[in-house]
Amino acid sequence: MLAQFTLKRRGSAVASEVDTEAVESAGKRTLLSAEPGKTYIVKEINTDDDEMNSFLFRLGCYVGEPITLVSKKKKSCIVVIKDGRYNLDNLLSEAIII
Amino acid sequence: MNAATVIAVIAIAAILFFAARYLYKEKKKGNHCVGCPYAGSCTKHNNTGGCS
Amino acid sequence: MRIAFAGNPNSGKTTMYNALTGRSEKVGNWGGVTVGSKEYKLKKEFAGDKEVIAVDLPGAYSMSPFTPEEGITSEYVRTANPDAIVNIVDATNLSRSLFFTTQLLELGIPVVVALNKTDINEKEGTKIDAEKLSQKLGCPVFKTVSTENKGLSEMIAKAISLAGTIQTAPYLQADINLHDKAAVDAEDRKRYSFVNDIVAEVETRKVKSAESTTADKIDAALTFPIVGILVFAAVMFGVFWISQTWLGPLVADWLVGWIETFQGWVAGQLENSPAILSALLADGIVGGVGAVVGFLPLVMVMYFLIALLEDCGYMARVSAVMDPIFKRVGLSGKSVIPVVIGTGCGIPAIMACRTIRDERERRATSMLTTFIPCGAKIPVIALFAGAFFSGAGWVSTLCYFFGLVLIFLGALLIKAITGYKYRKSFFIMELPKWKAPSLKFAFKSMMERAKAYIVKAATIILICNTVVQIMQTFDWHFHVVEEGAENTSILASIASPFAILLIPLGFGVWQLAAAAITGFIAKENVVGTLAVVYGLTAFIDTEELAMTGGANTVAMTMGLTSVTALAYLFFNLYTPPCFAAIGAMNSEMKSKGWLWGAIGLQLCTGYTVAFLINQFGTLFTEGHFAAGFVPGLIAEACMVAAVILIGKRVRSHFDEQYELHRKVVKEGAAA
Repeated sequence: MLAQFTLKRRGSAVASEVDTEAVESAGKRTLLSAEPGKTYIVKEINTDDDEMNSFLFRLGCYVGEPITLVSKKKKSCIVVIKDGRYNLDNLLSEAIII
Repeated sequence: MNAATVIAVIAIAAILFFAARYLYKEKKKGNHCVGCPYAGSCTKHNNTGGCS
Repeated sequence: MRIAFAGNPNSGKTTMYNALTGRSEKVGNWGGVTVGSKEYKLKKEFAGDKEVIAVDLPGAYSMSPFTPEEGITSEYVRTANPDAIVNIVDATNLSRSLFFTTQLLELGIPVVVALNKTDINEKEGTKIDAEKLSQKLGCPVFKTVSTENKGLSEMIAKAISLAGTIQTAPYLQADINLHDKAAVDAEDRKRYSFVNDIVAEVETRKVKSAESTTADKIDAALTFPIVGILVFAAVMFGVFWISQTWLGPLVADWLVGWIETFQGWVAGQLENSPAILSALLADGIVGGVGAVVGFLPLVMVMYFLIALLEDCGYMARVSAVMDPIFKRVGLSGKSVIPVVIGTGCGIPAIMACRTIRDERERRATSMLTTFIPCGAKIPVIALFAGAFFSGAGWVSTLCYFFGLVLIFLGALLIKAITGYKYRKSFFIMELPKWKAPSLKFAFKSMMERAKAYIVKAATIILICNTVVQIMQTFDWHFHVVEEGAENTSILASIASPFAILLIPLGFGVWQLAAAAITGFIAKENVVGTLAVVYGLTAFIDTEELAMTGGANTVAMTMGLTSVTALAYLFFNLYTPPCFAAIGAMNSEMKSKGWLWGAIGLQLCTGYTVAFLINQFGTLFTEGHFAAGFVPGLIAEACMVAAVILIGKRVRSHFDEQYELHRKVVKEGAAA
């Protein structure tokens, strides 16, 4: 059981590493590498989850709209989208290309 | 059987009767969680609030 | 006439609904509080002569449902055909809110926009031209402050007058194929740009939202992993300490004093009557119910403090800071909300699990949330803290903290059993603006809870106590049981078999077993039954605060040591909740398998915790294991075996599913 966990964990860690690397090398930045206090324009949203995409859209987070990073932490960050403040975890930040 | 006893018996009977009646009426009204402060807003038995 | 109240989550809908109907529905300064739709008549002062029913819908960001709550809203608005819609718009976030507004306007039902939270806008210097907005939208716009009842009467009057008319839409979505995602997206963008234009024209901001404020600095600190959690722990400790160690018992002592006097008086009156009458009325009814009511102040203070916490907006920050931790055990920050609600009552906590999207997370949370002691368990905690640990504050904090630990362990166990499925579970939580909690509202909320508590005590607990009293006074032949021969009573004979199972836990006595069993009807019954069965009432002593006389008699009568008392306390706290809560779990799980799994998990947890505390505690304090160690060990071994078996079965089932899935994906890729 334990082995299974570590395998899965390693698996996911590798997956996200690859993702970011591939993405960064393609010249795209994700919200993860944003700087606090700066405003960016959303270029792409890659959540693989249609419902999530729609949800983000309703909040005002879609291609072409500004998003501001307020503060950043190890596993999450706080952003401003259309006058509202939200706490996002890193998985989600990763999926927002700026 | 002194006065106190009579009163006591009546009191017990009355208390139990009212308590039971209250519960019965609540069940009839559809209030399944008696005394629960959220009884009105709870969706457990809310017909219009059916979630998937 | 029906008026639907729709709008974004946390826009002030429920506050306005409460103001207009006089109800006290649950409000919390974070989205996801209203979980179903609620209907009630408007107060006369607003409705005039007409009978107007207001329907409070859960918050939605748009008509296309993303969460179940949005589904309710869009379904209701589409199918129930309300006569008018009041769209509550958060004036502090116009650009986001108007999206939904324009969708509502397309329905053809008259809409009145209530521009809410304008007081915050005033403070921040944001100006909105309501007239212009009304022109652009084609519907009346009213500025309101629902927390202060400003602008409500005009708004509602207008809504009522418009009922039956047809609304023209300022923006109509083009006729597109709703299944074509790209087309829907394109249309949505067009709608958003329409909204953006309107906002640009009517709104002027002094403080740009994107600027960092002091509130942001506070938030950054509060959501910082270590600091945030410590702050939360401190805050909760404060809440428990105030309600259960300081203010609560202070008031309770006074109350209990009165109850005792009353009980004494009743007993005195019945001196010359048959003993059973005295037993029934003085000890059973007055004593039993009195014991429970005596703890009311503790519960009230706690509810008041929690209401303050919820109202100010702190809970969203807590949810955000706990997310990483919860993620490690297979849950998410969204699970924090039910857990916090659970400190009040487990049923709404279980209901609140609906906001969790991931099915496994949702089910896991709903079965684990009852490990946090609910309001009904407070009397039990307070009783044992007072009787066995001199009313020390650390006891109740320990119970909550340990409950949290059990939630984590339970989540890990569930994760292990169901197998960790790699699924992208995103966490996004809106951080509403901080607001000064409304004392008035917290007070009102507290009184509502108090009333409910008393009602419960006067009905369910009263009847239970009476039944228990009768069952312990008579034996099966309906003869009064002799002094010293209590174990021939009906109650004893029923409870004894269960008591045997509890021997390894240190409290294999029928009285304690009976009390625990009655706890399933209502957790307060544990206290009530104990009071009846042991003839005690003075759990919180007035003069003997030092617990020299009072508590020790309690301790001796129950025949428990500190170790076994702790074991018994934990047993009652961490076993399955009251039947009502189990019923709530049932409707949430929607699967008998999961439901019985939940009940099984909770039973085993309570049993195991008590077993461990009893055996190792006795080992520690007396140098030997307590009675029933081996049988208990065997029982534990069986539980572990059962868990492993279930885990294997569930996992192999999932593997099958996953295999099929893989096949489909392969075929799909090949095609």
